This record gives sequence, structure tokens and C-alpha cells, in this order.
Amino acid sequence: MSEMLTKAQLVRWLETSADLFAAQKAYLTELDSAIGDADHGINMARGFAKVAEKLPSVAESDIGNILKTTGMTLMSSVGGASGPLYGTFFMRAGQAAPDQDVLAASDLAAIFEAGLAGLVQRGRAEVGDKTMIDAWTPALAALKASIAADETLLEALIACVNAAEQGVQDSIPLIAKKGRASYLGERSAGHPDPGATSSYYLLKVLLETVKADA
Amino acid sequence: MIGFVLVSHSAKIAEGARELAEQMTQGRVAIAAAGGIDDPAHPIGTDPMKIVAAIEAVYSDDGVIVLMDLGSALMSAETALEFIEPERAERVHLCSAPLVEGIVAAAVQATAGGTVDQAMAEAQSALEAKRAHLNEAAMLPPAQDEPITSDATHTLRVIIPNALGLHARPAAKLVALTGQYQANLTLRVGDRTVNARSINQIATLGARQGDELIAAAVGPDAVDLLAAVQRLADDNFGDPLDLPAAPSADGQIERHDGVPDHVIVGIGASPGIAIGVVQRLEDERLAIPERNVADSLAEAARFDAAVATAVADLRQLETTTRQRIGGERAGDQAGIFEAHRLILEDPELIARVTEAITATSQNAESIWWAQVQALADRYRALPDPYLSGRAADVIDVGKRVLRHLLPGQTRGLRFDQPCILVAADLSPSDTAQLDSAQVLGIITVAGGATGHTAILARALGIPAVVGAGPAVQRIEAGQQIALDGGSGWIWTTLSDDERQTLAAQRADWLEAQQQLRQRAHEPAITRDGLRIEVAANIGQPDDARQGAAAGAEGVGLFRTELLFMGRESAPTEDEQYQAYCEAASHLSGGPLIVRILDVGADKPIDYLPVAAEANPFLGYRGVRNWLDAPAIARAQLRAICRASAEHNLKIMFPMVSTIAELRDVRERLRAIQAELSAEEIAHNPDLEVGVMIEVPAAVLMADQLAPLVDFFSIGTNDLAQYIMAADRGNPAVNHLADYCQPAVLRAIRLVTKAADDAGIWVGMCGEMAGDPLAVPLLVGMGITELSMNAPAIPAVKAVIRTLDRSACQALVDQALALESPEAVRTLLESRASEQISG
Repeated sequence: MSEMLTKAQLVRWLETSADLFAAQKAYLTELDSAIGDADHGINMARGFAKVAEKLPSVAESDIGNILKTTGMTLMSSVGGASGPLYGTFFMRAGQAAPDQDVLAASDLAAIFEAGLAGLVQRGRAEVGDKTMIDAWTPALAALKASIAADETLLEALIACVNAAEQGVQDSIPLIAKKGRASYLGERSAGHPDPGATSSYYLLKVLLETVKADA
Repeated sequence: MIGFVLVSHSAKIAEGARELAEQMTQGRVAIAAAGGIDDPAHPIGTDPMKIVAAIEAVYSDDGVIVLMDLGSALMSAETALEFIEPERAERVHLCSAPLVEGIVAAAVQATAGGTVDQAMAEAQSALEAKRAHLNEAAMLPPAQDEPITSDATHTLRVIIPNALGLHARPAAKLVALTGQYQANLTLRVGDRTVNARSINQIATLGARQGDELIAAAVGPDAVDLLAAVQRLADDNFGDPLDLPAAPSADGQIERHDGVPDHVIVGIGASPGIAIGVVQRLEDERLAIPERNVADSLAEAARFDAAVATAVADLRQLETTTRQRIGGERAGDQAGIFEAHRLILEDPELIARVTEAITATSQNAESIWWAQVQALADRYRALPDPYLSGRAADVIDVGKRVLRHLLPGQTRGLRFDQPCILVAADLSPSDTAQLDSAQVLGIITVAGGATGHTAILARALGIPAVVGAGPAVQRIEAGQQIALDGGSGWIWTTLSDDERQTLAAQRADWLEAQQQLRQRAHEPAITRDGLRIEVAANIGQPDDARQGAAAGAEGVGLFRTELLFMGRESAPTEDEQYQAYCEAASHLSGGPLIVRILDVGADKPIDYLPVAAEANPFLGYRGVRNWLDAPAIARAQLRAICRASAEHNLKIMFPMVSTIAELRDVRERLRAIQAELSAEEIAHNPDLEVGVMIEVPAAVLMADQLAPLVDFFSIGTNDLAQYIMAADRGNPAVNHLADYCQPAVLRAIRLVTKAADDAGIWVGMCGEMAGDPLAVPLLVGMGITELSMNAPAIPAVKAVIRTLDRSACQALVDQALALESPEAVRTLLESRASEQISG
């Protein structure tokens, strides 16, 4: 498989994500109001709006730097738990990025893997704790399986997004064990996890960005 | 004073709590609020960068305590720590106490001059008053504070039985125990809960006799693990029952009858009296570079490798200490290395360093050193003198890893002033580099009188006490102390009387040393009239002058490699001729044995390229490549032959393993001599020719080699490595490459026998030749020339003068019948002590 994710596509992914979170602000916040502190949509919209503001200043630098800048920006502008979490995710991803202007599917898997490791370390959560890890873990596994099966970047991303969506669905019956949702105990079951949902959105936008160029 | 940071989702809460605490402390404590986020529409949230700024604003080296409300506040605070210099971050403590009660209690404690630990403890217990008031006396059991998990938590409560509390050894036992079970164990004493896999956390708990220890285990083996903890506690945590209730002020715990309190008794290893200030090996100054690294993952891997090597070193030290010393002392001393190893195997410490390397892209040395110092500070801050003394161990371990991270930088120990050197252990290579003008005395925690350190210290004339046990780790750097390397006493403080007596003893000893040095210029003749030639090993011409000044009668080994290294082309015949003449000129007619160039892939020379080899020591080296470099061989042979016209030169060939090689080099020499004669250039036609015996093949063929040469010179360092198939540079096997191995002694015996039959003489130029303990064996086997590093000469000559050949021969028969190097050393040691008492 030969297609690569270009730097331009990466920048567009992050910009489009800002648009998406602005549009989905109300929905994500509503999800969060069911089991948390009703700020996830607002937080993500604010964080990614800041990222979109920052992007032009780093669009010419390398992919690693773009991802790290995204991480730093989210870290100091999101406000809720997703700030340190997504911040760490993108910073670790940036550290793992190869020294090139394009990413092969395997590079993408490697940077997601580094990012996910950061999430696990920062949040000390496991699969099934009803957190964003419940979306990222199956998504990464599917991405890697597709790469191993020699599928195209597009096919691999489709598998990845489908797995993330399934992860969000699977989080619905779970009882939250982390974050403020955990105070609700049993009452947190029956709702999708807002963090898993926003993670799924991010991946979906990435797929659409690649699809648009295909 | 300690600084405080308040983190809340709400700027108003953080600010309000700050005002409340300030009312109590009236501005005497620095408190910064880091609440909310900068979004007027939605101000609730936490911002790691705001926390970083707040920490920096109140930072002091005394520490910073961060109190947080909940949820993302914790994660943001943890994230903030990654953006703070590691050295500072180590002093920032995240505290789980409730925000309002916690800040008030901790800040008040800080104004009273409390340490971070005390303030943390105050904060943690801040709810007690409230609970008492509201009649909530029955507190939740601590286990329920643990994260929710599918496995049940089992708890065990024990009262700490042993006098010294959970000091390093019990802590080490707990860590080792936990590692054997599939379970996570936390230990709680008072308000602090720690991970039982972290020796540093357990030891810094500061748990004392009578404290209640609550052990909580989760996992499949939880019940078994707790049962094992109970057994360990029943066993007094492995401490003897009769330990004193509390260590004395200097932390000394071993007691001997009739020994004053301020004296520690170790093993006298090198006689002599020293009085001076303490320098610890860890005080040796290292330049620690700070730089950014391009590949932080590779840097983290480099750090892991250095730690792994240090752990391997310590395992080896632990094993050899146990084997070589035996008895109760061995457990004590080996235990030090075990505790050191556990410090390095602490997952929390290592993970923190690795994370900091990847997060900051800074070099491993600077991050490691910052963490080590911070950890040592935490130990120093503990009120118990025994535990605070562990800081020295932490620094010691830190240095060990640094040495692997900074190879080459730690060659040659340098100190600001003459001192008494205190170390957990000293490697032979460290000891060999000590300068007796700088190091007045040596004290080590581990080791025995027959250890290499002891032998070398004696040869260097530096008084030493070894195996002094953990108590010496508590002697402070800069303290005036004294030691007697004969009795093994160490005075940790000195009364005026003691100082006077010891100073007088030192003066006597110095005078005896001076006489020894003077007598070093006289020949060394055994009691039955055999003269042994004592010579120096040198690397460049001027070394011969220093050797002669120390009493050398000649040079038994001139390693010519230095003449060839660090230049772009080989030295010319004339340059070499000058060098050989200059060296010989310092020897007043004494012999100068020149060894021809001996290089291999381990020390390649630009103009004599040797391809990289998997095994340079089994490769293309010594005569093997010299024979294939005709121009270099020719120039060197001509220079040696020419210098032999006016000076007492001999020539020696290294790495000879076959008769054919020897015939080949002799033929080259004969051709050069013929050439010089034809050119009418003066040279000694009877130049003595020798081979070095260092390859086992040469030992086994010695009877056929002997008739072809004028002498043998045994190189014990390489010979021991080749006989034992063990690399001296590999800590896992270097104990095998010991010249006291019976196999090595038997090899030497074969060589001297073959030489005797052929009527040629045998010398020795390895480390063994300079070991006073081994000299009787060498004389007994018929070796008549000993060549060594110059400082060892006076002591070796003194030993020779006490010897009687027939007694030495009997000693050889005894030694050759023994089965281990330890047994050989014991024999030699008992002979030496008889000699002293007789």
C-alpha cells in the first residue's frame, strides 16, 4: 500500500476538527450533562478553536511539531480533564512522528499508539472504564490489522473509524470508573461516554479528509 | 520555606482558600492560586500551564506542596510537573488532602518551620478535628481508599516489632517479597501510603518501632502475600532481636566489647595510621553535561542500558562479597549491594527518569543526577539519623549509573585536598589510580583483607580499613576522623588525647615508610642469599626515571605502544632509538626489556589498520600482525639493536603461540643484525631475546620454546584471562580471571620448570608480580625477576627480604594442591600473618 497522509491533509484534519467540534458543541455537552459536568462540548470547541488559530503559524514546520503544538494548545485551553488527556495524546504523538512531511499508514499507527500510551499513563484508565480509551483501543487495533492485511490507507481508516464507533456503542452500558462520571456509579450506565465520542469524531474527520482527496 | 499551590476548577475557590490560609499565616508563607481557565463565558476548568506558573512563583528548594480539588485538577497538576525542570519537579509534592482544611493545616505547619513531609502529614490529618467534632470517630478502613477494582482488597495490620523500624534492609526484604507474588501491595503508616515495590518510598516512610503498619494487597496472590508479610514481621523483619533500641548519634550500630562508642571496627587491610577529613567516593566531582538530545527514545534506551549494567555490577559484588567473606559480616556487607540494587530496580524512580527524558528531550545524565539528588534530599530530611544516612547510598548508586553513562570521564579520581576516602566498595581499577599524596587512608563498607582493594592499598602504602559495615556510610563528608589500618579501628570523632596518640603513631609509621622507601634502593635478597631483580613496568622513557627513583633496578617491560599511538605515521627508527636510549639512561646500567609493538583491534593505530574483530583478544595482535608489517618491524628492530650497542637492552616478543612464530621473529632479528653489521653500525650481537608467556599454547609448549630464547616473561593479566576464558572487563566473569586460580598457578609452574630444564631465567611483568602476598609463591617457583608499577616496589622488596627459598617452595607445593583461589589466598594470608607475628 502506497498512499501517504500528507502534511497538508494533517493540517486540514485538525482545522476541520475545529469546525466539527464547534458544530457538535451542544451534542457533546448534552452527553456530558447526563454523566458528567456538562462541559465536554464547550471544552473541545474552545480547545480546537485555539488549535485552528495556532495552525497557520506552524503549518510550515514538520509534522511532529504540528502535533506537539496541537497538544500544548489543547493542554492550556481545554479546561476539563480532556485538556491534559488530549494534550498528552497529541504531544506523545508528535514525539513519535517520523522526520518527514508525510505519514505512511504504519507511521499513523505508531503515533496513535504513542498517543494512546500517553492517555493510559495520564488517565490511569483501562479498557471498560468508560473513557476515551474505549474508542482508541479498538480503533488502533483495527488500524493495525488492516495494515497487516496490506489494505490501502483509506481502507485502513475506514476499519479504524468503524471500530471507534463500535467502541463508543460498547461504552453505553458501562459504569464509569474514572473522572467525575464515576461519582454517578450505576447511574452512568446507559449513556455513551463523551470522551470516547469526541475521540471517534476526531477519527471520523480524519477519514473524511483522506476520502475527499481520494 | 515551603511554597503552596492551590488548584481548583474554580478561580474563586482557589482564591478563597488562599485568603483563608493567609489569614492564619499573615503573609509568611508563599501561596499561589491556580484556579479556573481563561474563558469568561465558561470559567470552570483547570489549566496545567497556570499550575506551572503558580509552582514557579512560589518555588523554593525546601519544596512545594500542591493541593487540588478533584478530577481534571489532578491530571492537570500531574501534567504540570512534566513542564517543570526535573530537579525542581522532584521537590513538588501533590497532596491528596482536602483543599481547604489541607492548606490551612499545612501552611500553619510551614510557618512553624516544618519540613515538606511534616506539612504533608498535617494536611493529611486535617480532617481529624472535623471528624472528631462530628463524632465520626470510626474512619473508613484505608483499603477502601484504593481505586475500585474487581478483586477484593485484603488487609493486614502489624505493629512494627524491630528496633530500627522499616530501614533499608527490611524495606529491601519487603520489596523482594512483593516481587515474588502476583499482587499489588500498598503499605500505610500513619497518613502515608506507599507502593511496596518502591524501596525508596518504603524507607522514606520513616516507620519506627511500635508504629502500626497497614498492608493492603490486591490480586490473585493477595492472601499469600499478606501471610508472607506477617511471617516477615514475626521474624522481626529479618533484624537480629538484640539490636540496640536506637542507633547512637553517629548512626553506628555494630558493637564490640571494649570498644569506645565513637569507634567503628572494620578489618585492618593495609597497615598505617591516617588522620584526615572524610571525602566520599561519591563526592568525587563529575562534570555532568546538560544538553538536548535529538532522539529521546534512544536516550531513554541508553539510560536503561546503563542501569542494567549497574544492576549487573551490583549483583556480582553481592555474590562475590558473600562468597569471599563468609560469616555474618558477609550478609551485612552483601546486603548493602543488595539495597543498592533495589534502589535501581525501583520501578517508580526509573519510570520517572525515563518519562522525564522523553518529555523534555534532555540528556539522561542530567535528569538522572537531578532525580538522584532529589531522592537523597528526601532521605536526608528524615528525622531518624539511621534513615537519613541512606542518602549516601543513594548518591553512591547514582554515581555508579553515571559512570556507565559517562564512560571515560571517571578515570582517575581527583579530590580537592588530602583526605580519607570512604566508599561502599572500591574497584581494583579505582584503587590502582589513587595517589597516596591525595588519599591518606581508605575505608570501605565491604571487602576483606585479601580483596584486591586491600592488596593494592598495601602496595601503594595507603592505610586501609575494609569491611567496616554499613555504619561508615553515616560518616559525614568533611568530618575529621582517624583510622588504624592495622587494628581496623576507625575513630569517628577524636578527643585531644586520641589525636595526640594517633599523631605520634602516624609519625612513627611515616618514618618506617620512609625507611622502607630508602631500603628500596638496596637490592632485594632472600634470607638464604638469592637476589631477586625488582624492576618497573613503563610506557614511556620518562617513566624509567620515576621507576628508578622508587627503587627499580631496571625495566622489565617497556610497552612501546605509546610511542606509536596518537600520531599519523609510525615513529622513525631514529626517534625510537632516541626513546630507547633515553629510557636506558635512567637505569644506571640496569636492564631495559623492550617489548615490540603489541596492538590489536581493541587499540588500533591509524597507520597499522586492523579490521574490527568480534574477539580482538583472540585476534590479529602482537607478533601476529607485527610480522605482517615489515617496515614497522624493521624500524623497531633496528632502533632496538642500535640502542643495545651502548645500553643494557633486551628484546621481548608478545603473543607468541607457536614455535614457528618464534623462529620467524628470531630470523627477522638475525637478518637485521646482519644488515647492521654490513653497514658497520654498532649493536650488541648477543642481544638477549625473550618471549612473553601469556597464551596457554606457549605454556604448554614452554619446553620447546625455552631452548630458543634467553628468557621468559610471564604476563599474568592476559595469561589469567586466556587460561580461565574470562574477560577482566566483564563484571559477570572477571572474578574468574584471577591469578590466584590454581589453574593459573599450575601454568606458571609449568613455565618455570621448562625454563629451569633449559637453563634460562624467568621474569614476570603482570599485576601478580607487584602483589606482596603472591611474591613468596613466585620466588618459590623460581622466578628471579619481578616487574611492576613503580609504587609497589618498596613493599615487594621488603617482602623478598623476609623470604627463605625452601619455605617458599614448600608453600608452592601446598598452594598447587588447593582447589580454589580463595583457598590460595587464605594460605598466603595466613603465611603473611605468621611472618608478621614471627
